Amino acid sequence: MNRLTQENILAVALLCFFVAILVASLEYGPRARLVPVPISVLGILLLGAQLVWQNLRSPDELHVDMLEFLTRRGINPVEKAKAEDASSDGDTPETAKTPGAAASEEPGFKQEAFAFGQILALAGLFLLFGPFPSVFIFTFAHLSLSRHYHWAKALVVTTIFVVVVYVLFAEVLDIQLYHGVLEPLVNNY
Amino acid sequence: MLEAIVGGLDMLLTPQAMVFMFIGVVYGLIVGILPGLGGIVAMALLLPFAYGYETAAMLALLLGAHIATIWGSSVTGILFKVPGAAKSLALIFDGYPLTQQGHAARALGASATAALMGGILGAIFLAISIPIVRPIMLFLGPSEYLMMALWGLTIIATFSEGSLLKGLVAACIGVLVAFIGMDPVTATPRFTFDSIFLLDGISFPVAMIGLFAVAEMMKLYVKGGSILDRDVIAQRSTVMDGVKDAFRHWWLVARSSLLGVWIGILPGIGASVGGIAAYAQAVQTSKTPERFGHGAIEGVIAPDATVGANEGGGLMPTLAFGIPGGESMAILLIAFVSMGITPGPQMMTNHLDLVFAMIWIIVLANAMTTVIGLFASPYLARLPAMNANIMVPLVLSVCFIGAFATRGHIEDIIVAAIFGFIGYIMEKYNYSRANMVIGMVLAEMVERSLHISLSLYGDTFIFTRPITLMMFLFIILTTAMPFYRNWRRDRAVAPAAGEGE
Repeated sequence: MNRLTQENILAVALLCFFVAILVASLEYGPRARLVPVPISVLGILLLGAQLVWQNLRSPDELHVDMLEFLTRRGINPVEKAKAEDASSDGDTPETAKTPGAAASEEPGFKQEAFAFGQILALAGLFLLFGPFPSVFIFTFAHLSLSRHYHWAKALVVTTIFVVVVYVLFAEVLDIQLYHGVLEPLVNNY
Repeated sequence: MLEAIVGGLDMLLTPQAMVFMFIGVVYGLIVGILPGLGGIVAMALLLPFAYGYETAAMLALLLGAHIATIWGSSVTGILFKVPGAAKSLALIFDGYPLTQQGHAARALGASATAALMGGILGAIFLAISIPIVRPIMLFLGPSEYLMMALWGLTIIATFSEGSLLKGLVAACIGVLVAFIGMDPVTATPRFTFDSIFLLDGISFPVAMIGLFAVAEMMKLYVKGGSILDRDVIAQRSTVMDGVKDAFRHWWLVARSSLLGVWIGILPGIGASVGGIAAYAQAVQTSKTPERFGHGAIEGVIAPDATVGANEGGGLMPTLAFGIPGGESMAILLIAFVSMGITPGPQMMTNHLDLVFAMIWIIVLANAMTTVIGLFASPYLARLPAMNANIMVPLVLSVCFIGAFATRGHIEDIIVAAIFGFIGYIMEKYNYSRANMVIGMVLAEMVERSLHISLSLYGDTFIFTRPITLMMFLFIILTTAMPFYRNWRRDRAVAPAAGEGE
């Protein structure tokens, strides 16, 4: 799927979000919808303009900064070079994300799916076991499966980390922690 | 007044007060660095331990911890693009690019020094302002507050991350997300889908943990390596460079500090707006606004000076009227009650030495934080070089516990995860996450002030209130300034280019 299609799907999804908010807002009283209705209408108009904008320009130009375009900032190459020199104080490379770089460094779907999966896994572990067992399982699994450390070293690093986190949150800050939905089951046995 | 200034310092110069302040500062730095936990949590947790000691010592402990959390939350914003609190949001715009370029130590040094200078200048401005502040505070109404919130929103027009249209869409999403929960004006549950958890609304710290911390860790996992670019191995500057930067931009520090004091003085606005407004004025007044967002050191100095000065300003309504200038000041009010001190107009006459003792605490706590911060910065600056395989599980774990600890609701873990996905997608497709948070922060203030203004002054309040109208014109002027400046520059460049050809 090319970048333009992805951008269009996201814009349409956001458009649906604003329409849904608008419909939901209309059910509220006049004072409760005083701000949400105009904001959702504004969102719909902006996304309409965005959809038209991104489909009338070539995909390579998708990342053109609107403010640069409006103010003609960056059109003059001498000015642009000066700005880049100034931002890096003359001795550092320009490392901020540039439009071209963003397009060329598209991450793979598999890596993204793994990243999403990790977040889901950690959230799921928290719900099931509570914070500290989850942190232990997640950190140990991550350190050992990524093969950054040998499993024994990963175990030591994980244990030290969990102890530090426990002391900080549970002992020093005295935060009452959730024990997970599995705790009643464990208690029964 | 001079007697009160000396008396205030004298109250503080006891071994107990100084030790308590040191403990408070160290504790505040640790809490500040933890995502989701800020000054409010730090003070609330210390409150039970603060009874039974000297008044000055108790205040030194509480205020010292609160002051130190400010710089603590700046550290994570600069190093990891994870603002520890909403007030540090503006620091990620230029602080993080500086870290990526190998200037983390310089950014941290500038941040700590600007916060110190802001704290000191804020205290001086506050001391000078005490006689004139009361009538001004009483003069400003909700319509002027609305204009201040709108001024904060103008940064969306002056700072773009990708596309202006997308930036505005992100701000609209942020405003609508802030409306989830019980409407405080009409008591109508909005967008809650009959969920009791959503009645309380979406917690800002949890949303920020998701949008920035979780999303950044996902990005780092996908990218691999470390936060620092591969070609940046060693630090390219030192902490002292940052200290010098802060002094070199003394005029920006002074302006930002004054802004911080006045925003702090006005109850209900808070440092979150202050940091954003400071960044906006730094961009709008800069001769080279195009450098902002790519690692301009002024983008770190201005918000930190404002937030540093803001605390002094926040004391004014708390002490003079008993109206807390922010959430942290509300906790301070509770401490006052427990000490038998009744805040109010008599505080400015009968207990003026105590008022100045608190101003001194702000100055000294800022100094302690800066000294510790400057020593710690070279070590902290190495953290972004850590490999993704180690950083991702550690940061994600702390962030999720921090999200839970914010309100003690397990549902906040799910909210953090959802906002993490949203943040990743927004980052990938250039919908500004910062604009979304700015929208969230300012939405409530805009709505509340608009409702009150319409009720009090009618539909045409902008034109019937002279101060409001002046502020409205000022907003238009400051927003149009960068556009006008660019237009003039282009006009000047065009004939020169023609001659060159």
